[in-house]
Amino acid sequence: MSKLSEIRGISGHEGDVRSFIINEIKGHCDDIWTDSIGNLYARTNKNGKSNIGLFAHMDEVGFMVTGIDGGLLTFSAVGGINPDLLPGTRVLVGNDPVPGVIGCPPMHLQNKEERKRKIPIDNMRIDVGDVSDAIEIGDPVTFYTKYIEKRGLCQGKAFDDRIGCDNLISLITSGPDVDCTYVFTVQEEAGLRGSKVAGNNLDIDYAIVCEGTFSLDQPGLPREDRMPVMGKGPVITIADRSVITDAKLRQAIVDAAGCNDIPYQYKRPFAGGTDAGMLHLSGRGVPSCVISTSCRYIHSPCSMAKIVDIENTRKLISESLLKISEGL
Amino acid sequence: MYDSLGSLTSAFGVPGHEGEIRKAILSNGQFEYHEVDNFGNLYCHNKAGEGAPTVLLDAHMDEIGFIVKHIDADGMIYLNPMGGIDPRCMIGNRLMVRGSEDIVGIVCNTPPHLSTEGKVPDIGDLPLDTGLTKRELEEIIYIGAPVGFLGKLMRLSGTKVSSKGLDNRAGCLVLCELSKTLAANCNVTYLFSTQEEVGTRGVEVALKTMDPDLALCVDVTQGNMHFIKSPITRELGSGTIIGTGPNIHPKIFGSLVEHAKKENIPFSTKAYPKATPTNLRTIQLSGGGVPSGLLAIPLKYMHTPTEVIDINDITSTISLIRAFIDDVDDVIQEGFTFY
Repeated sequence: MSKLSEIRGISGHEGDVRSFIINEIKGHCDDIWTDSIGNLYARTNKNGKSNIGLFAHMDEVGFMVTGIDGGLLTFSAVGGINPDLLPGTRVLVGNDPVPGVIGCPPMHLQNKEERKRKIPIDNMRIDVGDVSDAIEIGDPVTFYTKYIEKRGLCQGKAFDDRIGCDNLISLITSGPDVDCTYVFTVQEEAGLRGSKVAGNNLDIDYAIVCEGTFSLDQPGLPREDRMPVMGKGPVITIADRSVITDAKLRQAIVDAAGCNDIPYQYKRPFAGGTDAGMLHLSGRGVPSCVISTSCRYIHSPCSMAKIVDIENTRKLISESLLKISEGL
Repeated sequence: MYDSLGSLTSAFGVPGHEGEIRKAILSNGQFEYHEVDNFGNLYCHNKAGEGAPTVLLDAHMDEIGFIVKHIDADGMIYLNPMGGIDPRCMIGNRLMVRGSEDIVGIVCNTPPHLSTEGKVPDIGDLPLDTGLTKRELEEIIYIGAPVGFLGKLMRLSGTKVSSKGLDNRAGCLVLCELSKTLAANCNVTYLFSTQEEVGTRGVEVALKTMDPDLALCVDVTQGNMHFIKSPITRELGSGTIIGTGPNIHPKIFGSLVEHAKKENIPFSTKAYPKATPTNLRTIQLSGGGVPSGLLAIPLKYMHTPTEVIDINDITSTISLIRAFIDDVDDVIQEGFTFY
């Protein structure tokens, strides 16, 4: 997870993540291939029936350079990012990365009224120091955050969805003996674009999307709205903005949790969207569900998760596969 | 110099908790001997001998930070700032709480899925989330525990660097580098003072036991930023900044300018119409009065976790102080009286 979190890959620039994953899984599956948009597929095919698709997206939110003025860069967000998080943040720019910072005006030079105003993203710049020949318009920009682990908690960038990638890698290398098609998609954060192509390229009976989703145990939110929360187990989606999950498939997952004493929780309905939104509409319609790990502060420079949640998510996906392979 | 600056900026040292930065300074400078007073001030000495004049070089070693104000039932930590801090640079950033072990937390932010338009929160209302429960936290930290920004020095393009705490570890680096190369024509006391960010308190105490012939203070000042360019900000890389105004002795100002010109050291001057926002405001008034000069290094995004400076401005500052001190006998012999 430490490596997966620190690898850089905004939507459309997932190459480093893809290479890392290929390196981890090669030798553990029967086929590995990619398509023209960049999705990575891997199949285990011992019994000749890889009809269950497991999905995780490789891309993360970040920025693109839109203009260069000496050592100051203008930028646009790729994916949903709250601009309030940006002043005082470290970033890496370009493929051969150049470090930069998003500055915040010093309080000394602003009056009380000015300090109360949020800084519009148009007035922010990435400061890379002097002019750098290495930077071009369109270069990807990622948060620059060191991964740390302590007391059963981990912190780092891109938990949405490197946690899902991590889970899929573990399932390929040491998961149950169930034939699956594993898909590492691109451009989820740019509007579920990779999974649209993946859905067209596959002929599967079930789709399970593995995600790092938000956690709502945050100050200021009413208690009754706090679902899911970090520490209460894997998160099962009933419905979000993009999909109403398949009832039979969802029940199989809930049963798998119940039979194996794995804690689980439901995601607050109709919040967020995932690749399942594209996949359930693909082909002649594919029964789909989402299993996630609840992380605090996704889509920000630094997210947080409980290791036990990540482990239980993996266990739930694994047990669900066994259950589904017996037939619904 | 990048390595030294890196070790100085990463050292923890919020006001009143300067132990770690004190150690970092001692391992980066070259001093004959040093003392630490009750207030945590670090005095490092390189002596020339009896009868030689005494010059005080001051740089504050504390950095802005916070203390733990309150831990709520969910384990969220609430903070009081030490020094002037803009809450807008904190949201989404990591802070380190120093307890029986160091705990890293994230300043709470709302995911965009749920974000609402609102105003900038007060610092005291921003929760710091360590992921631990109130009970777990209470075993590690206490109310009042010090909290600081996190992050190692990062090299940007060219000669610019970014880090927390460049205010005023850049000044500390100037003193450490000078301690290795200054000629022994005068007694130099390198004062690394505490608690500047909460009101120049360290030097208030330190100067009670000192009687230097003159003092130079090294600190940072506002650099040009795309947000704000004004007559009082300076371009990074434009050289050292020599302060002038009632807080600075005209003879010292004059000598600094003269030396900068003579040695071709890049510099600009900056007018301070009243007491400067540096230790010099206190040093000048100590004892029977201390003739004082101010050298400042331009810095962008002051008091945020991503301050930026140009290393060349540090070099210019070092060169100018060295040239000035080489001839310091002349300045002192002329005297500082005004008739």
